[in-house]
Amino acid sequence: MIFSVHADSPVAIYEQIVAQVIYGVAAGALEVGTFIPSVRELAEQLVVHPKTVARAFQELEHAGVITPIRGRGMEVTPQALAICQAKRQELVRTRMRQALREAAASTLPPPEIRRLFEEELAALNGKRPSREKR
Amino acid sequence: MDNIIATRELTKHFGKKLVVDKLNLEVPKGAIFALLGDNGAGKTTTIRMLTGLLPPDSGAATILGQDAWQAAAELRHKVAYVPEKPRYDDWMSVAEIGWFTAGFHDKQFLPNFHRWASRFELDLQAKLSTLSKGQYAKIGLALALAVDPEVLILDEPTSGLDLLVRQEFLVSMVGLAGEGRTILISSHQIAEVERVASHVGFIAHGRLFMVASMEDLKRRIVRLQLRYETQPPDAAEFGTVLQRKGMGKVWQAVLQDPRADVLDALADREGIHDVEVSAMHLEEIYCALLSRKEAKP
Repeated sequence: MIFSVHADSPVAIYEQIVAQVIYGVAAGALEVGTFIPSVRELAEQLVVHPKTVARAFQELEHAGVITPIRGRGMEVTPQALAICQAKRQELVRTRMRQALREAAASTLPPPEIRRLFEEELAALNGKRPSREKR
Repeated sequence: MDNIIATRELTKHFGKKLVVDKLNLEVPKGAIFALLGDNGAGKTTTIRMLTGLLPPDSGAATILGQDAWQAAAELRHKVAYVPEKPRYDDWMSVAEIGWFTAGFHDKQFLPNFHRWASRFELDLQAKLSTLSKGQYAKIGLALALAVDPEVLILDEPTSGLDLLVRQEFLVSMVGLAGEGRTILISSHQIAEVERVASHVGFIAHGRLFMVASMEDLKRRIVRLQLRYETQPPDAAEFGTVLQRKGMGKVWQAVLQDPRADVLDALADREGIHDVEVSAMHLEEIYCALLSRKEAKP
């Protein structure tokens, strides 16, 4: 699982890290017991301030997705899969709401929006393998 | 001691020209503080006062609890400084400049220098005159880090560096902050530090017009966009308005210290649609704050 963040995204960097872990777990790329790199390692890898990574880890720990293992770092918890599958829905729903708002603001009629959605979804399913990656 | 670097009403004139004007800033331990502003804004003069190279006319700067000017010699063993365009004796080799500088510091300096030089992939036998700009900048950084400093002050460290070297440089800054060292970087390339900085100070005409942690800054300056049916809202009720734009019936404002309660209620208001509050890039925040400041001095 490889993380990447974008400073030019409207989503805060720590939220991007949180979302990627959640998607990773939900999609099965991060299984129970998977070792998560330390704050410093990940900070250097992503070129972001360690505090930003620490903030993301704090949030994930609070949500019960990862747990510290003494002196070694963090690992994915047994209950992470269930939590992340629920969270994934929330996250995707939020992003979709934004896109839908934009569509509504353009006054495109709802049947048209629905048709575009179905088309895009079909195109995606045709091309991409079932295991998702972000 | 909460703050590693602090200034109080720091002021400097060159002749009659006011270059740094009552500057107040605080940098906590482990921070990467980015001092951002255009060329000539007063960044270098501020840094020269922080590093004890220039006495302030009034006010004071303290580093690790000591006065930057009075205790300058002592602080030189704990605070490393890399000027914007470092110049060394170019007839020396990499090994020689390390050996020469080691004479001013303790026994650990030389082994530390060799360690950083190898981490930066510098050839010890190479003459300084033959180094590329990026390698030359790394010499400055290796000499600074060999002191094993608690505080690192860098004036425009990435100017003149290639993209890849810049990236490597930012990675090493993140690593150093992770070790608990405190870093102050000046730059006029705002977008570049957006990822790595934990704290930001914006400076123009010698005045620090905004200083905050990155997190607070992104919460305090936001963009509000909405669509209205007949009447645009009165922006002043949402917070301090820095910029305002409109096109057709879409209305946009950049707000400082937005009132969350008013914005929350906005979505339900009659004749107002598609309310969206979004975070902004550091560059956009800088421009919004600066344009307002220039308009109302």
